Amino acid sequence: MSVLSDLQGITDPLQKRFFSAPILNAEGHANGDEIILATSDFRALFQQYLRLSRGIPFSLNDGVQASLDIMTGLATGLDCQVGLTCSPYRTMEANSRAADYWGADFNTDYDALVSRINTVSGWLTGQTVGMILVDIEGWRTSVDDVAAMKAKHKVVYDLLVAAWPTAAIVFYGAHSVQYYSGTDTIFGNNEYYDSSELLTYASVRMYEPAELYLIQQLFQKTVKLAIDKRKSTYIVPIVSLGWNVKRGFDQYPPSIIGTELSDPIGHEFYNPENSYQLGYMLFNPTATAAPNRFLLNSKIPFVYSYPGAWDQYVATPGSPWHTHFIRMCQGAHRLLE
Amino acid sequence: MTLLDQLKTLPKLQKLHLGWYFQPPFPQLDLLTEFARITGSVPLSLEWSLPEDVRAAFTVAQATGCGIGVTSQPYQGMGKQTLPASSWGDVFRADLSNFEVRLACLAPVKDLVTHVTFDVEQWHVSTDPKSIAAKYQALIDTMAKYLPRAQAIWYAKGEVTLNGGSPTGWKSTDYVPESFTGLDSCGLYFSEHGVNQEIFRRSGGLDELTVPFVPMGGCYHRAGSSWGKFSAPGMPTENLWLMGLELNNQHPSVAGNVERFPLSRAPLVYLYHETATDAWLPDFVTYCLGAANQQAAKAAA
Repeated sequence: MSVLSDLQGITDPLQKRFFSAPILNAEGHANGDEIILATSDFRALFQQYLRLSRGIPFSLNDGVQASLDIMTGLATGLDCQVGLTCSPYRTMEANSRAADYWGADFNTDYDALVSRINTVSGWLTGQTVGMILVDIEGWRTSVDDVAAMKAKHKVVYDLLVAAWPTAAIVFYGAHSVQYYSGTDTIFGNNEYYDSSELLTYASVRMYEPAELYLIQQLFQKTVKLAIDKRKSTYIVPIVSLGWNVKRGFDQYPPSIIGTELSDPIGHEFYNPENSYQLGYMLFNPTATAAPNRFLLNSKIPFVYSYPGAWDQYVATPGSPWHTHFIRMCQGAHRLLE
Repeated sequence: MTLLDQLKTLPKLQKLHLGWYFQPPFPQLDLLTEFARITGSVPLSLEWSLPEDVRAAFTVAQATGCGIGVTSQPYQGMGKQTLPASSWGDVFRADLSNFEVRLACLAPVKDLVTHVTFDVEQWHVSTDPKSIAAKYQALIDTMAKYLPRAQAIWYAKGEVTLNGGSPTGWKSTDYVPESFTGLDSCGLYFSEHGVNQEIFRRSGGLDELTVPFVPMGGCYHRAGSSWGKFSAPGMPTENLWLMGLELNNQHPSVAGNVERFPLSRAPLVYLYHETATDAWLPDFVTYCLGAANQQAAKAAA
């Protein structure tokens, strides 16, 4: 079986949209998505991916119009929406600016964001932007000054909402309950970020498909924090697609969880059954029948994923991406039971 | 490297480890001696071990200073006829008599037996707690006459475990008698460490009165939208290694943090190794190296 035939073999799209990080990770190429999409074989695969996911991945910072045109062309008639990914404070991050910094680096980032919003919104005329993931993970140089950090996020939020008023804004890395090996419980508790309108869509990282039980725990703890305490409405799972985090020897202690397998090919990878079951938990409406048993499926409006390197893995039968995505779709529809 | 050579490289475990009896043929004396040195105990079956097995266990226990752990599967007659716990008729009397006869066969080693593990997994035909407790007490009273030093451990008398069919995801244990003589147990039979830790917590493990059962060579893996059957392979190597470390409490971070490392509260451990083949051995090696906090487990994997 080829990857293409496997994808074609899944009749129905995922029950919820499955957005993802942009394709542009071809190493060393600013326009990596354009390069990858230039091959007809990949375009055929990608069209199947669009059919199943109904999400067009695009980078607000770096995406190029040519690749967007290719993708939207492939999505014709497929009920797709665009999922944007945005890293708003790159200069601030590069210069380790604190949250209360409002100097030249902030202005640089602000101007760049405004410029890109104007440009990309022009390209997207006629397309629906379903969600925008704001990745602020790399810029957390200050978690003590909550007010200043919120103000920085609010700047981004207001610009995005003004451009795409119906899009769901998801701040990635702002407040997810995460593993943190330095605690007594192994669960970090990013409580520094309080309730605000910015968090209608809370996010939770689910990078540990090697142990689904831990993912369930993460999700439930995030629900308690985000929905019960901060009054968020939805939880957006951020899943890995083609790599994961697993327990390791070398990291114990102090780290209990282990190393991120950023180059998963050749490594022992997670059990495909876990991908299947994750698909069931995240997408299948019947998984809500026992809320304590499964994830709170009804609070998940859509899913976002980090796919790893598209060009290396997507077209490779048996690759982690292939295994995970196919099995996840099969699990979503319970095709193997 | 032979099986014996491999066992000789392993350090002694820090806590007492009882074990499932070796299925025939019973291992040779030198092999059994190494196993006893590592675990601190020689395993026997009340129902299946032969007189020569008992003699071998005696020899090894004498030579190593180890105790003997006996496993019993009582009330098999009642189980086969699916009689309820409230039944006190001929089948019950035959089962108890059989139990007593077999205990008498252990007379040569009676002072060496430290624990009798009662495996009642196949006898879940009644949810009447009082009757069940009475049946269990009959075993305790009989055991005490023949094995004065032995402590009882109850296996599967109503264990806390996952149950995909229940609203909570956990199996109900409402029918289990509240308390009676002996240690409780729980099965750490799942491929995910977090699941096993939670089972131990829910089984009262933090009170140091619950004996965890650790599988070697097999476990439950996820399958479909739930869990599959108990099958090979065993737990992921990292998890088994971690289990060895956590259960044996050999790192300051483990000993000082019960919430994160609950398994450290286990008073002793029971190894469930399917001994019909040698498939359990690699897992046993990994577990023992984890218990000693030796990174060589990675290479062994």
